[in-house]
Amino acid sequence: MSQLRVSNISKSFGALRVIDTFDLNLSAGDRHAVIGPNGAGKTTLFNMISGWIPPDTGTIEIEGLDVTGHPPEKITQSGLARSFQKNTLFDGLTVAESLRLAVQAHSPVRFNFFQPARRFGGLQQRAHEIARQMELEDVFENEVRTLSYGQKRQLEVGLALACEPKILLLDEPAAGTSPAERATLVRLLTTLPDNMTLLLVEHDMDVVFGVCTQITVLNYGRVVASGTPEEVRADPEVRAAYLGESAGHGEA
Amino acid sequence: MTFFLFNLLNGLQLSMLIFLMAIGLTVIFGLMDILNLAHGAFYMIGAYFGYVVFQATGSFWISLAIAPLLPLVLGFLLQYFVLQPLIDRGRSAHLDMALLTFGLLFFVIGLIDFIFFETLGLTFMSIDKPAGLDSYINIGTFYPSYRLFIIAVGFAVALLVWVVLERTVIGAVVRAGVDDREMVRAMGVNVYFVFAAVFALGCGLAGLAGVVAGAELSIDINMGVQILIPTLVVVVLGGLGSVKGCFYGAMIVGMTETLSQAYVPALALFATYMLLAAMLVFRPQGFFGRAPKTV
Amino acid sequence: MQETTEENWAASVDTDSSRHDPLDRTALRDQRNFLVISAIGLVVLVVAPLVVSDFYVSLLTEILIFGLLVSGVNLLLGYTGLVSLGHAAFMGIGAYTTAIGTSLLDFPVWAMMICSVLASFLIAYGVGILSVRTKGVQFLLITLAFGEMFHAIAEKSRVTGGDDGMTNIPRIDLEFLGLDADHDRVFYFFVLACFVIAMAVLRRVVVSPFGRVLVGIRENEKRMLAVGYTAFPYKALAFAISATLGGLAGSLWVQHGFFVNPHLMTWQMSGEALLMVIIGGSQAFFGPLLGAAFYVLTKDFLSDLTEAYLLFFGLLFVLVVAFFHGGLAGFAATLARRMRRGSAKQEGDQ
Repeated sequence: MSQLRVSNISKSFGALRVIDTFDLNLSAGDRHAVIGPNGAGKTTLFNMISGWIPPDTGTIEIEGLDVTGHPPEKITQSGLARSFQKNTLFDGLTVAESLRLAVQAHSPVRFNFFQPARRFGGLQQRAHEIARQMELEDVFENEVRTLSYGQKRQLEVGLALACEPKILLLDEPAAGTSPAERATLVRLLTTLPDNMTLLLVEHDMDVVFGVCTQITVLNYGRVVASGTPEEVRADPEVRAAYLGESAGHGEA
Repeated sequence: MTFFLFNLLNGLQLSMLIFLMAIGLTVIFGLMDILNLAHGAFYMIGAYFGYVVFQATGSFWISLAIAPLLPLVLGFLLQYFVLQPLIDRGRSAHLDMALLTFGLLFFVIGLIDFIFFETLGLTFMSIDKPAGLDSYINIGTFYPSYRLFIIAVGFAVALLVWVVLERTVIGAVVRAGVDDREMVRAMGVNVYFVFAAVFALGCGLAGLAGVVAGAELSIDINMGVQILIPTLVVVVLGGLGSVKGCFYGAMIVGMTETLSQAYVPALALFATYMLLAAMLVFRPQGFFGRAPKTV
Repeated sequence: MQETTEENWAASVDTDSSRHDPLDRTALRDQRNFLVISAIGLVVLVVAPLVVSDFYVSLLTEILIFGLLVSGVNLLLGYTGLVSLGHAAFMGIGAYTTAIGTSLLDFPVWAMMICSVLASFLIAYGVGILSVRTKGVQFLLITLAFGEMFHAIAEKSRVTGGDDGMTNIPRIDLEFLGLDADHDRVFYFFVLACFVIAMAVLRRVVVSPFGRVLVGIRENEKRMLAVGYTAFPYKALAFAISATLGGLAGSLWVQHGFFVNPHLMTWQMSGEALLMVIIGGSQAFFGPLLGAAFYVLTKDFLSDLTEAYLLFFGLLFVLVVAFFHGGLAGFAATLARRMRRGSAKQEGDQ
């Protein structure tokens, strides 16, 4: 059964058609990337799938359940979690507190308002596991604002991961990172559980080719090509529209 | 009928007074994201300084010309040397500035109380209406000519603000800034100077309203707080940052306050607040405000 | 570059082996600090009325009552990041509920105190549902609007004496304990008991999973939605709980002064509540109490010199917002941290 099915969605802002009849069908464990030049509509697409913007037309289904038009928190509760291109973190909290909050959102204790949260050791345990997974163990008790940029990007992914999603949407996880930080990210993303579905928007081809097995190329809101990395790389239209040097870079 | 006309004009007069206050508040918010709760303080400063100038010169007109300059200058200094540096140091514009200017309002009220009441022993003061505007005009009913003057001043300022915003370079910069703050930064103009200038003009208009009000209403320690509430209502109704909305909002609030007082006194105190609450519940961005960005 | 960071990490692991322990040590340390500070504070609050003059007992009572109100305000301001300019109205609702029930309807005071708490909770929950959909400045304005609406009702209502308010409100009957609450010291201890209970409840709330959600909303509401929280019910409940403390404060306030008038509900009063929170320190649990103490005592001290106390508080408020975001409590904490670090450094040097 398909885990995420996006059928025929479109979005216009004024006269500008940002996404034009887009389709996507992901099964459990897929590693899919959406690439395309700036303004291709990638972030809008993400915002629609994760519930931040309602699509003009079309439907979005998670595990056969229609979630079109649901607000972001409902979508997350349905098993789809996302990260943000621009760090959207709890700057004044520690890594531990941040991750714990995300874990708690999917625990039955989230409405408990009369028992000390520290009694629920499971939250802390799980937060710590995710910190270890995202290689943030050593800064676990540090305030988020004191983290390095690369660590903040790791926490971005960690917060989405803490929602125990079946489908993980990552919006340019490597945006603004150094080559070393990027290498760490690719390493971390390749260790995600096999049955977790991953949808990635990314500019950096090292990350895309390092992590994903399926690629959709978007330009001016339309799908230009889609297929395996090899197919996409070979596609003349893609080379012309977008990849150019990056494709060669990816092969190197 | 004449009773209605009388109240209509009273409503218009109040609308114009509130408009003079609200226009500065809303443009400052639209451009700088600062909810300047000290706006009521600048109104008071205008009125009290107007009273001082009037006592010294005996002329309403000199007072009207000079008194708004003090809040204007103080407004410039406040924005350029206090608020902007704080925002640059990472104080969030939104809430910290609202709190800070709120403290400033308290401070100014305390200061005026200390100077005028405790030291000079003055409580309720007023500025004498100038010759020619101190009588009644027969327009079907006998109506105080000074209130017509207030209406005229309001319309004149509204027209002036419209011309400045729509027809001048600085107006273009301000309009662009209200729509998209980042754009002004990118345009390479000295943004901080524009900010401070707009802030100063807003405060100057509040001061002008203070002087004008000082000859009609009494000058007392509660005047700043009293006008601030309807002003805030206007700004919310019109939409934070919207000049057009500010004008219509002022009309609605001025009329609601006056007409409810005249016809349904039991509702007089509530009407405005109910308007405000209803607006915020059903359409928080106001009549002409931009819809909040979702992402 | 990479290597040095790793060395630093290694070093920090060596000196502090607790880092890898998944136990929530921050919360445990916080709880310990809280218990120590509460114990010290409680001793001070119990001993103080026994050694000061009658006049200061009355001031202490005022501090506790304002402490209740502003601790409630702080649940919104400090924990959730919402600035309400209408909270005095809920103090007023508590005050008028008690006043009407006892002096007009002859119900016992204890029953009316319970009614006050319930009334303020329910009304605030309704107002909260309507208000918390807005944010930032809009929230500030909508709470102002609701607050002033309640103020207008109190001012207009003839049953409650309009602008003059109501007088001769009785205090709670403590005869079953053999005590007479008309004695200020007895009443003080009654207020203290209410205060301790309310603060214990509030403490439970802020350290609960619910309380942590509020902090998350303050830090980044957008992210809270993204990780799957529906922020709305949390904010509405926080609003109601915060107003309930105000309601209790109001009920005690009428008993303390034997009277109530609409001035208690003005937005200036709400503003002064914000002032107490900010001056005391909005990020600390007991910051508001410090702020209330500072406010009441300084106002009393200043009133000998001038009626224009707002001159001073306004300026102080501006300075605290601009430069000392932690307020008095934050200042004390920084001082304590410096001293600890200083002594730790000395040990390290040796």
